Amino acid sequence: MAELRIPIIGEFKGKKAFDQAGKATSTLDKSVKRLGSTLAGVFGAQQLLKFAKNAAKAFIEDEAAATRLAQSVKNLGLAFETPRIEEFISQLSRASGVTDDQLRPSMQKLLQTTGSVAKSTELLSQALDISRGSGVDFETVVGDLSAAYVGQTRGLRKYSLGLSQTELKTMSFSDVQEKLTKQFSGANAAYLETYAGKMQVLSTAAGEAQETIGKGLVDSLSLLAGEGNTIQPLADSMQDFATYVSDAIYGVAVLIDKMKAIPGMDFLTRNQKTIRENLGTPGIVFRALDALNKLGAGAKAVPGMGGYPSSALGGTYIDPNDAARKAAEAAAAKRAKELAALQNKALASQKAQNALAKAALKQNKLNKIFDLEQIQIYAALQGKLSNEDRTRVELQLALLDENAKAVDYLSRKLAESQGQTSALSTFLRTLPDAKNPFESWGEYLKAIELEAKRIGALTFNAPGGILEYTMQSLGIPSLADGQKVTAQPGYSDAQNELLDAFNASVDANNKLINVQVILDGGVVAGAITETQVNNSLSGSFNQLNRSGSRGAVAIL
Amino acid sequence: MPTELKGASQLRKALKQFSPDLDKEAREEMVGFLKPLVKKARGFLPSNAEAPSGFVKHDVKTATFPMYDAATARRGVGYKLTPTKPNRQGWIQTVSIHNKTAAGAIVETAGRKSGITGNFSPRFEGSIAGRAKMAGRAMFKAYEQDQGKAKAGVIKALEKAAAKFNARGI
Repeated sequence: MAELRIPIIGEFKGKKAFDQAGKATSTLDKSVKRLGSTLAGVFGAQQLLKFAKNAAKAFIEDEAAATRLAQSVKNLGLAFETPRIEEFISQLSRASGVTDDQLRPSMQKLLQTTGSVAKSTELLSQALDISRGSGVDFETVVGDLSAAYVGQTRGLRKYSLGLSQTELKTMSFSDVQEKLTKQFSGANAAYLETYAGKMQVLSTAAGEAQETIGKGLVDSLSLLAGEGNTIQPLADSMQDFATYVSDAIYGVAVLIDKMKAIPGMDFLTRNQKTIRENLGTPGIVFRALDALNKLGAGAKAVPGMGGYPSSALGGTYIDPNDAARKAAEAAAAKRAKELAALQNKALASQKAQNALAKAALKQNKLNKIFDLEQIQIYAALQGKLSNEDRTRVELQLALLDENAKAVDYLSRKLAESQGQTSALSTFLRTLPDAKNPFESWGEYLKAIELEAKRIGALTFNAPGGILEYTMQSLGIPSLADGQKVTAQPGYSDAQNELLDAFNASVDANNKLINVQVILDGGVVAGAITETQVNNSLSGSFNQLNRSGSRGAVAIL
Repeated sequence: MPTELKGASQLRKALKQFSPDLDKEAREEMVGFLKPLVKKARGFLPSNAEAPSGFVKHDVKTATFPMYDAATARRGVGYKLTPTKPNRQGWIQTVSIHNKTAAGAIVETAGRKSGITGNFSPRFEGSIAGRAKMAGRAMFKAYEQDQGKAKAGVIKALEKAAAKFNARGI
């Protein structure tokens, strides 16, 4: 039930506000619709412009990253491998959904570490699997693999390979790689089967497409810029360019229109393929058209970085860079072997050092057994010593053991203890004499003695017998029962007191006490009824409340 | 029907924010008018002995029907000085008195619609005062008997606070 409420003061504000809100909403709705229809074209143009800007920006960033990688590869003496690396990164990016922006720096790092393109590509692919399988981000995995390649396996602990740190240290990189492959192989492929993976691939593809479009835009603008491929002349002549393009488009339209007017031209354009097939030797017109076609296609197919020929050239093709590649791989393999050798050497050295330390420790223990001084100290420690002495002996032992940490601690403890002892000694020396607690006892005992003497000297005069007074002894005449005695002048105090007592007893005897008992009729009747009913219920003879079939009611 | 005092809730807000002393003063003044009204309304609620025995709170609860407890019902009668949320018609109650408990509301309104008949409503002592939806045995009766004095006092207190607030020129 809703609570009851009386409004003392009220205010009407809701409905008006609702109406206002409704009106405002409908007005806004209409305005937005009008605005939308007006600005639809502008908005589309703005979106297009925004996309073009983003595309150009993405391409510029991508190109910068590619340049960094190319420079790095060049510095490693592998400039001829740049197109192959770019191709690999592009393929891996498309297949894995990892952007080339992420892959390039990773590839650079691996190349710098291994010096081998083959090894780097292998590790990059493996890093993808490890990253997907372990959930660790891709860059970190690449960093860990690079470190592991040169023997720093500390970072591999996070992948939970089931190996102790010591095992990781003693394992060669190939063993580690094998272990990682065993654990994470196929993780990337599995991830790409998921919706998230597919979405990532699509997203990356969209990003790449944006970069491609951006490249097209920038190239187009550079081409239009004229001499030197710089943007400044283009900016200067942008207005002229716009006018020029406009006029040119109009001119092309006019040209087509005019060409249509040439007799037979329409037939030629529609049937050029058939004519070419029927004519044994192409005419001058078609040769010219073919030349233009090749020029356009050639201009579009700008060679990539280094112009590396594709494998589609066939098996008979001999790559001029093969020798250099083989040499670089051999150098990298040599470097890997050297690294492995160094690692083994370091491990052997570490083992030798450990063995030596163990032997030294053993020797030290043996020495301790026969060191008399130490034996004495241990014996002293077995006995009962004060805390300070114990600390001193322990310090001596620590000095013998050359345990600097213990020496430092115990010397401080001893100094502290000594300081406390001297402070205690000073305190005790300067302590004032204690007061004699029994000093005042002499005077007290003397006072007791004097009091005892005084009590002993006291004398008591005991009465001759017990005083007994009776009416007769006091000379009061005997009276009949219930009669009071009147005091006579000349009675002593004792006589008067006796008289008073006697008269009081006479008064008490003569007094009549009335006791009146008032009973409540209802209570008495109730008690009687209760008793009768209970008697009836308990089997006693009673005729009350027994009539009818209802029986009796017990009173509790 | 409530008396509409436009801007009362805004005034209370403004007072609370900018002149807490005036707000306190106005509140105390309003409480001075409402407290006697509430006290009177509480007095009209029957004691446990006066209420129908089956309706009074007892150990064995026979149904989900609200049980009456005089102390609880009396505690449920009170006043409120803060605005309520707007109702479906758009009204807010800036200052109000209420009878919150279900049992208290039953005592207040039993027989209001169907008449004092049957076995329940005739057992309540005290007549219903007021008219239509403003009729009742306790709170409505007290409000009816007050003859609008509390309302006038509250309005006056708010107007006084508003005048003082405006005079300060905040």
